[in-house]
Amino acid sequence: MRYFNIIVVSFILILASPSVFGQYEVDFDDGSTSYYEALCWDISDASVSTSQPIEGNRSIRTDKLNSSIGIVISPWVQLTGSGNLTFKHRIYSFNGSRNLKVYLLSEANPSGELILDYDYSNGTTQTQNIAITQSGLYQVKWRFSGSGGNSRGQLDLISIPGTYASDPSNDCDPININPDTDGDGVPDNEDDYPTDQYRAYDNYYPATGQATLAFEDLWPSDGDYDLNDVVIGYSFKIVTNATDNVVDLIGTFVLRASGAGLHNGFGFELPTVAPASVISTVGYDVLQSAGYSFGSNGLESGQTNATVIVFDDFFRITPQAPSTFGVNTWPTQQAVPYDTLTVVMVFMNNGTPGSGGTVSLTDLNISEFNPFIVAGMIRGMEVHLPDYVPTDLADPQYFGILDDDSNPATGKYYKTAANLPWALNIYEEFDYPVEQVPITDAYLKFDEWVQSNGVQYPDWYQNNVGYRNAANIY
Amino acid sequence: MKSKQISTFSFLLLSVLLMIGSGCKKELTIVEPTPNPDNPLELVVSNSFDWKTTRDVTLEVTGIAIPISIRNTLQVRSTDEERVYLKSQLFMDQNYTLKFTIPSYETEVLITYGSIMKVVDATPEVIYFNYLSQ
Repeated sequence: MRYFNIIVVSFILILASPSVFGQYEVDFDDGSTSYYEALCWDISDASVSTSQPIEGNRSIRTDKLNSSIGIVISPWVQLTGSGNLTFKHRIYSFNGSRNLKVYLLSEANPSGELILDYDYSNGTTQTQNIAITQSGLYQVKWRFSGSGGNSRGQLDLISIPGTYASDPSNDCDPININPDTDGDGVPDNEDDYPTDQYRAYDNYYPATGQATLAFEDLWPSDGDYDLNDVVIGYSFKIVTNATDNVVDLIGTFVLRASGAGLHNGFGFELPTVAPASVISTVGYDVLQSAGYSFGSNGLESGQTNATVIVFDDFFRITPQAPSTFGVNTWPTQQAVPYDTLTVVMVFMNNGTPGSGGTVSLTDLNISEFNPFIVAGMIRGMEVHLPDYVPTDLADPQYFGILDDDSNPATGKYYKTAANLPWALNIYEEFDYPVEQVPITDAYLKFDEWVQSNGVQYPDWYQNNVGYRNAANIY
Repeated sequence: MKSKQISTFSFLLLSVLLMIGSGCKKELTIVEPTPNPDNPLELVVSNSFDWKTTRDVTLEVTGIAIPISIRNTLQVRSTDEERVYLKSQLFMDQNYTLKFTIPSYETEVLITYGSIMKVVDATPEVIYFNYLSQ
């Protein structure tokens, strides 16, 4: 198979490359040894050196040829079957017996075919010119040898009759033409959608599993800080095309718990996305009677930025068990199975973006999505993560009253005067506290995380030894 | 006038809802902050604390002049390779500025570009990657 690939590559290069009859030329003046190694030059017991170069700023210079053998091997080159291999070489500080051998290496003959055997008699610069009749993929190998003394071999101004054909991103193997069935430029072996020219990659946030949103719902009044009034597990799959533009955004939301007396809704804003960039949105669960208004693309109307209302009432989607308070927050009460809502947003349809234009993966910046609950089903009563900006439909009359210390003028939102939040976004699945137990009684390193400004115990929510009081966690 | 009526109504409704929901609210005793308070309301929180469990990292990729066009997939992963934080196709001869988000506790990431692999310190806000050998 490997030889087949080489034959295919050779054929393609011969047919398609406009520089196929050109020369691959290197003067070693463009960088250090590591630069040329990155370009697939194999340089052993030698280096790209600024010391007494043959020409220009740098030459290859071997270590002292007393006990070592300096070897330089070129990248793979597609030889054309005609032309000359030229280079300059010499022995610096010549003495004793010094020799240079040059080989052509191929995959069929990795030990190489000798094309030059040169014994030095002095230290003058030699200009070598060797006719090359071979065609196909080859490497050129220079081997300086000798014994005793301080002589060093030098090499410069190499010109090989052919085209560069190594892949630095693939162990410097010969360029391989991996199949690209859909022709989107992403080889099948890297393409998550190898037969879909409009999709290439799946990207996930969080990178694995589900993250967790945990809300208190009594804003603008303090709650009990059990952070279980609304608990939602979530993840996003972001499908991008070969140029990193978002094609689909698929949000999965798991309604895990609600230790609340209020009926709460939930939504999120994409602060960097104009509504017109979204073609369609499906999968949310909102009753018409809840009073929300939606555009033809499924986004909430009246918003500057793309805003999705995922559900209008937690308890309508996931009802409480009979004669119980809330859902999944009292260990003594019957557990309620989770419900999951999957929201699919389409940004590009068969390669065509929404009228608002394309959105790149970087521009989407999904980690900065802006989730919120709608407390008590009062549309204007949004509760966001700390310092996240309310949407256009939040009612500003609630800011700065009771325990809230929001101040739009300073960009402070949804924090108390003591800078306490009403919500947390935890990167992993979060085992929330049981009802009416404050988070500090469940997570024993939480306070140190907070009071150290996040420096200590950034993993406070994980199940590490000494981190939790398990009795206080649902 | 209508707006004021709605506003007054909303405030009254809020008051009622807070009374209904007050079962969730603990009676609190205000005390001086302590180093390890049991009550979240006693926490001393800096104005600048962002409450985030993640950090955003900017990745500056420096391209390398190369005789042919090579493109491959750059991935940023956790060093245990369990989590993929970023996946993007890059041309090797171009510079890029990319962003990704990692858990705050992550101190190193593994960056791969085809066969090229490097472990990079992920604690700065801006990290760098090039194709040269380390």
